[in-house]
Amino acid sequence: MARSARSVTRRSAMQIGALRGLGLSLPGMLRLDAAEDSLTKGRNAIFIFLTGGQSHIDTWDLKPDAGEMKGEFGSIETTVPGYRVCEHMPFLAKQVDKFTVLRSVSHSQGAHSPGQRYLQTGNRKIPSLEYPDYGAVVAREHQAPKGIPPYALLPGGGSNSAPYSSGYLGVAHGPFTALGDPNNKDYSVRALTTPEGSTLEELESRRRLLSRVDTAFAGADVRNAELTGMDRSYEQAFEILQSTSVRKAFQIDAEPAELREKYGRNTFGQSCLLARRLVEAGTRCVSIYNGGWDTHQNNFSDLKNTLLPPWDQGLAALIADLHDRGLLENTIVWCTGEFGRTPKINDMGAGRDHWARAMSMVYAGCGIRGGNIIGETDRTASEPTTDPYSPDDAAASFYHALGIDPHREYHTRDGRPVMIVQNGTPISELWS
Amino acid sequence: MIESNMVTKPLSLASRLSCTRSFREGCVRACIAFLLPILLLPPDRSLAAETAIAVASDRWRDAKVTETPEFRRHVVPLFSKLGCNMRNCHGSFQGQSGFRLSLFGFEPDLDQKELLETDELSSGEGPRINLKSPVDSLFLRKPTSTDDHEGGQRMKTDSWQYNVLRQWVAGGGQFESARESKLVRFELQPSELVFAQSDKPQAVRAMAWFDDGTVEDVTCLTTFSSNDDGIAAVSVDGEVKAGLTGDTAIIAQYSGGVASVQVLVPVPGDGEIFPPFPLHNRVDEFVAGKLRKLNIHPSNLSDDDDFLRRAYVDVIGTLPTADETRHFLRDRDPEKRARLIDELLDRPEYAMYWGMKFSDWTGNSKYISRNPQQWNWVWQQWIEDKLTHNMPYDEFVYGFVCATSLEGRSREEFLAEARQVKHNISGRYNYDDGTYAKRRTLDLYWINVERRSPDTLVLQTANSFLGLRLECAQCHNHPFDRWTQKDFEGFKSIFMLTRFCDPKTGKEEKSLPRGYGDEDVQAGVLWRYASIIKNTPPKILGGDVLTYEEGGPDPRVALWEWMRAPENPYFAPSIVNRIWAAYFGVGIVDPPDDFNLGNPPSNPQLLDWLASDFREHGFDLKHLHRTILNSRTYQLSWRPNDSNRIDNRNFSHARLRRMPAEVLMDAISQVTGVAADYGRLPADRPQRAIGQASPPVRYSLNRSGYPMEIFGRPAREKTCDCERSNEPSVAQALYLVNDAEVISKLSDPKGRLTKLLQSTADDGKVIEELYLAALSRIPTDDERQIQMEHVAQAQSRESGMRDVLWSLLNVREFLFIR
Repeated sequence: MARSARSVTRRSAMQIGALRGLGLSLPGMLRLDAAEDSLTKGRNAIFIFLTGGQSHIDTWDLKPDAGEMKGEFGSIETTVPGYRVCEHMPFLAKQVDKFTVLRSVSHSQGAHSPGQRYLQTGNRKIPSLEYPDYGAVVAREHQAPKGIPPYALLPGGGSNSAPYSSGYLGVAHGPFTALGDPNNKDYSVRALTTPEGSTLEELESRRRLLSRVDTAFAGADVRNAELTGMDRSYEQAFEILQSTSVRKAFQIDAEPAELREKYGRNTFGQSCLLARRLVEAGTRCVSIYNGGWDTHQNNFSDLKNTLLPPWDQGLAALIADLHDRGLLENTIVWCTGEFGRTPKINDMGAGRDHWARAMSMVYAGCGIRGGNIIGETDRTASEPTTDPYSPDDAAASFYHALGIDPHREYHTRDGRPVMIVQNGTPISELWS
Repeated sequence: MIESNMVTKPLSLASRLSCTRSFREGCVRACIAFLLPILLLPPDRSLAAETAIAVASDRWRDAKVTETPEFRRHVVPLFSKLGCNMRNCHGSFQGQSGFRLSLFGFEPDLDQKELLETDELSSGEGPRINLKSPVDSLFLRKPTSTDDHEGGQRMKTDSWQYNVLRQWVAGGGQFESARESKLVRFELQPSELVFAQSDKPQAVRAMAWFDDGTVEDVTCLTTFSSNDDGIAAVSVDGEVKAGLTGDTAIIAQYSGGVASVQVLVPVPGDGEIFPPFPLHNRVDEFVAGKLRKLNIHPSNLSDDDDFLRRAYVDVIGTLPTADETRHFLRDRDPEKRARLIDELLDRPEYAMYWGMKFSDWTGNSKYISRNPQQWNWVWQQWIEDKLTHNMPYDEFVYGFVCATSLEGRSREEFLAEARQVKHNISGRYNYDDGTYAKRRTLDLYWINVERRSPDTLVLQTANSFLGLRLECAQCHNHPFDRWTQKDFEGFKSIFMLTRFCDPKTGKEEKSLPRGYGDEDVQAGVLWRYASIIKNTPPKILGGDVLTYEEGGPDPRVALWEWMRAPENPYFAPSIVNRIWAAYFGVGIVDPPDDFNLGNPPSNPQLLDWLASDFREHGFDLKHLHRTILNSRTYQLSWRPNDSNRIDNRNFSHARLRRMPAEVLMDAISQVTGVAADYGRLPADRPQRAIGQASPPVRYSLNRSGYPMEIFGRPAREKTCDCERSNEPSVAQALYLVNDAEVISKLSDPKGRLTKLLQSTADDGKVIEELYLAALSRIPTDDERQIQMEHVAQAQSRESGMRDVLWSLLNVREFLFIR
């Protein structure tokens, strides 16, 4: 019955239905029915992308018996009895009861660019079509309050080369890119605040002037979408600029110093905190790109010294904070890289290379059960031994949590019909 | 159940129509476009004695009918008509509920096999086809909803459609391609529908000619769709109803044949006379001809300032300076527009700007090398050289299609050239001195696509030089139709004959040796003599199989000769149409790179004439530009009148278009007087965004790439003109309103405003200068007064004037080409 736990197509559901007549019950599926009601509450998303590819075997999927592939790290207990994680993840270890760890994701895109687009969109990269990032889809499906950018992209620290793209949905669904480091003392956001610090009064005065002189096209064709669309974009831009809630959301120094410390005073930690503030303001999807995980060399020292500590602290604080505020009920947090890393430790200097056949990811919120450790890999974390899930399934689950039908059909600019996620099916185990 | 919301709901008629609509708009038609010339041979003269056959809906009306229909001629088209083989039904590659038909019925033999097969999944439901008792066939019980059918009831048991399907089963469920009649011609009657002052529906008939000498009215078996439901809606029976005024096309599909009919819904006439429309050249004749039919009146000729700004931006991607504007507005020469056009076409920015466009159209992307910037430059320079010398377009395309590295020279000569280029681009400016640009051919084109996939070569070449989108055959893992597949593969074989070689050793490689330019050893493009293509001989799209032999001539030359031949329906029309679309914001065929039978030109006579005129003038690009630019049509005002306000495809008035990303960035620099920094460049190369050869770096949290990206500069990776976007977005508005990059330019100490304020005490004069610089016109009295008031009330003259300049960068009149 591995299949029923995985993805239930209509046909297999009928087959299962037939099996039920033979005395087999389907508790998992029934639980899912109950869970689905609460899922429709999902409104917000925080997508944390660990670009470069986080080592699964050194974090969520430790293999103490893997001999020389085991690596250098020991393990610590978590809040889930029997489940141990890397010793350098003390903060996350204490929060495992609030999220699901999915360890049986497997795919075949072992290079950064195709792997990243795959994990950023839930669709395998093809030359003739650029799929949209999650945020672009979420922003299109869930309206944000007036004056709030529906999709924001935050730089989460580390060197990072992952492209973002709203793909066939077009630039209109692109992210509000909040450039700059929220950990900086005088943090400001590109285009939101100007260096000279223009005041709202000045802006309003300019806006008034603009409305008085922008009259030449008064007689123009009202059906010209470029023209009317630009008008709307200006309205929204002024709404954002003049919205106190957006400015407030970005005023990260309004947070108590204690809480800022809790997230970690670094780019990633403060981006996580900022993500929470934006979600509170009404942003529907915040993506944080955290780079540097491409540990071909010095895998262990880099993980231990620079990569794991801020990520561990920031992500743990985010999940705990969202939980405490009740925001986890309608906010999904999803953290993944583009692939895992080779169990074999290379000769280039204690590094691990790209490995897509097994990887781990983390989900929290929107009814996803806490403390759930899904899937297993073999002795060396090389391949799932349980039924593998694909990035397509992972993405379909993400959309499903947000009440978005992953098979909903859009039309590309040249009229091709295309589903949000072409091949994936939500992973029912996340809610069971 | 978790999937409940994903299960396909029973299809409503509307969703079935949208299914055909997506088909119509989809890539499939591109396949059909070149399939058809093969399928639909010229009507055979021997068919003079045609036998007319009664329509299927009559022949199988009676339930007692015994006649057996043909599978390909009747049954499969009926599947399409009923929606069975659509993509979201059984035409899906996964099939639907275990039953799969070939998409749109392009593979009747597979369909017949599938029908005869009863797989174990449906065993509980009985056989799909029951030869002993036809009415018990699953494929009759399902669509009649006799059995539960997810797709709902598609037909009734007492219908002629049912009788057709039943009789096919009764006749043994046969299909043998050779024994059935073949479609040789398919067309709609009448050839044009005009809804003159009448809201009465009109009917179109679909006629099919077969190789057995019969002709049949197949309306009842034909699938109809409208390219614009708002203007003309078509019923399943081919009945057309007029809606809004304008024109569109009704598309019909039957058994692999595609036909269209133009539908005109004229603006109601109230006795108004068509306004005087002095013809500048023949372009205007064709445009006016269509406008008269539609009773749409063209707008007036544009004012000089509108024309000036439009021509500058469109021809050279550059705003006129304040001085140039003043000079032009004062000029009394009646020929000044024609003179300006000639001057603009001779400016270096012409080559730079159209070089950028050709870089878009030919895919000058990051794939070219691991260090793409230098090589993108080299590519751009090569194009600029050809455009500067106005190389005939067919020769220009030869440089792409028939590129070789050696160009007939010795290996040593080539290596000397390659070393020089390498030396230049590794130098101070990463900029070649023109060594490469002097080459006749652009081997970089091949290297660029080679780095991607062989299919990309086919897609890119078909799109770049023929205006075709062939993606369907690539992205669907199963062919729609064996002809199409064969054609695609045959076309691909032409490109596969070409191999790469290491010129130092002469060793041939199947693929490019390590990066051209990345290593000291450079790769050369050769064409290979070996007989590597056994299964699929190289074949021109819808044309001849190419012969080639060891040591013989390069078969790509035959491809090129086919392209530029006068009878080629794509080569000249596609470039003419692209350039037209660049000037009007909409093509005569639109999208401009999507030529197919389902997407007919809005003005076929105009396109034909432009293409032949272009050919007759030796593929002279500047002649083409001049013809378009000098037409009254191009020079019409953007101000609409009551009759043409909603027209957007007949060129009755100029369409307001946002400036492309690069032009806009340059315009901001020019108006503020603060150049952008695009890196170190040689003295003769201005800091211009339009001259930036490389597409923006994606995920450009860096500064210079950000505005390019948000304003829609393409990465040139999609082989589709649609990759360049003119869509507005909030990020664009935020950038223009409040980004530090823009704001800091307003008050830059070396900028225009600072200098003006120092040199000019008169606020009115300062404002006038700013209007001339930004909008290419003198401010109106109202505008002058509003701006003066604003400055007077501002904290300081400087801050007030900053606002004035800011407002001029944010009015729509600045952002749009008027």
